[in-house]
Amino acid sequence: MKYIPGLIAILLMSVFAACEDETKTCDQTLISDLGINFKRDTLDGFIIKDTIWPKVTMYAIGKDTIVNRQPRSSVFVALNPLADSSMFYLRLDSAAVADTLIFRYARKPNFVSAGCGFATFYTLDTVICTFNTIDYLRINNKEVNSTNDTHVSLYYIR
Amino acid sequence: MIRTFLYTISVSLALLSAFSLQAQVKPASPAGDTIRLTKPAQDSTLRRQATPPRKQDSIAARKQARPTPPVTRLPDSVYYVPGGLRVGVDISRFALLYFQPYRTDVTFQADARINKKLYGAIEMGYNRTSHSDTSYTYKGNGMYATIGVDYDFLKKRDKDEKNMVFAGIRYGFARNSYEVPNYRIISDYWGSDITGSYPKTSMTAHWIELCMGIRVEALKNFFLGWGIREKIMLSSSADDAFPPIVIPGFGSGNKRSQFDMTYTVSYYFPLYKLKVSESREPRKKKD
Repeated sequence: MKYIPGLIAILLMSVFAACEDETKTCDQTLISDLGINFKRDTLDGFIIKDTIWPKVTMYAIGKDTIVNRQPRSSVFVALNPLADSSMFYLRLDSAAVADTLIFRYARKPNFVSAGCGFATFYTLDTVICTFNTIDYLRINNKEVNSTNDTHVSLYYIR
Repeated sequence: MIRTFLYTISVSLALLSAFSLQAQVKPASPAGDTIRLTKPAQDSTLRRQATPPRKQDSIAARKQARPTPPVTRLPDSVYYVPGGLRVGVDISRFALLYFQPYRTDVTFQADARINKKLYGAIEMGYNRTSHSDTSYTYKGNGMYATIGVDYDFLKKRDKDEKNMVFAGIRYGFARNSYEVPNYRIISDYWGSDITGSYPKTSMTAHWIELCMGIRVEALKNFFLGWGIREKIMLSSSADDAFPPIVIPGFGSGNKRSQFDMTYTVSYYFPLYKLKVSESREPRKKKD
């Protein structure tokens, strides 16, 4: 008998959840942003750890700055929905030499949810970059959609 | 669309009628139960009489030789319970319009008694979804039907009592068409404003519902019912890139399972009586 109030509370919550106006809220924090994280390779691929770079600067060529001299272990960037490729400038430290990254992809409009509406989803094809500070990179997930995944990892050998 | 709906209605009504008719022509319980049980007792008596008694147990044999009274079984208790068709409307769908103003639902329910505990149940409904904001405009409409059975757990105080505490299972099917006449995708960073439209698309969905609830006779033949149900999607032909906002009868188009509640107002048409035969023998206790 002591569980009855709890059961009623769960039922009421479920009923309210079922009655929720789904057009009012967008439950996605990031929609179709490309996730990039930084990794340090200290023993030829045997010891790989996430790393925080102290002064990361990143922006799309010809556009506003996304991150400006901030300590970061990962960056999320929006790809160009009007073109099949996007070019980004990336500098990890004020002392480091900047790199350029070019992402090539296919685009498709997608209905995310009643609250979020439509968004462009991307399928990564190729990533081209300069290797000034970056040593190598890996594409973890080609589908850039409403999940907050890390799609590309950039590796630095130290 | 209308043809499919009419076809669904006719098939469902035919099934309900079949249930009702079958329920009326229930075979009576075998009348010869008493004879069948008494026979072996007589046979054993005869067998014992035919066997010549040995000397050492002649007294015991004589005792056994006495004719034992035949074990008679009480005849089954036969009575009639009311059977009929209960037709109603789910008024919680109208209340839903307050919480989700973009959807309009109308749901009709019907159930018919098959036997003492089991009821055949169908449900049919219509949904229209219409939403418009700065991001997109959506229009959709469709029909759905569910068919299944309810099992009544309520121990009746009176054989004519029609109140129910039930649990049931349903199979649901929906057909829906929807479109997005216009949408916008705005990227603040890239300064882009993409517009487009999504053409009219049709989809079908199949699901299973597990439900439980109560039905109470508030006035004579007038019932109020409350129920909860969990719907589990079996398959949906909707495009992953553009699922519908609402699947008629199921709920949210991008969920695989959905909780729902119903509040029904229904009227009971007493159409037939169901013959129920029950054993009057006391139940055997387990050793």
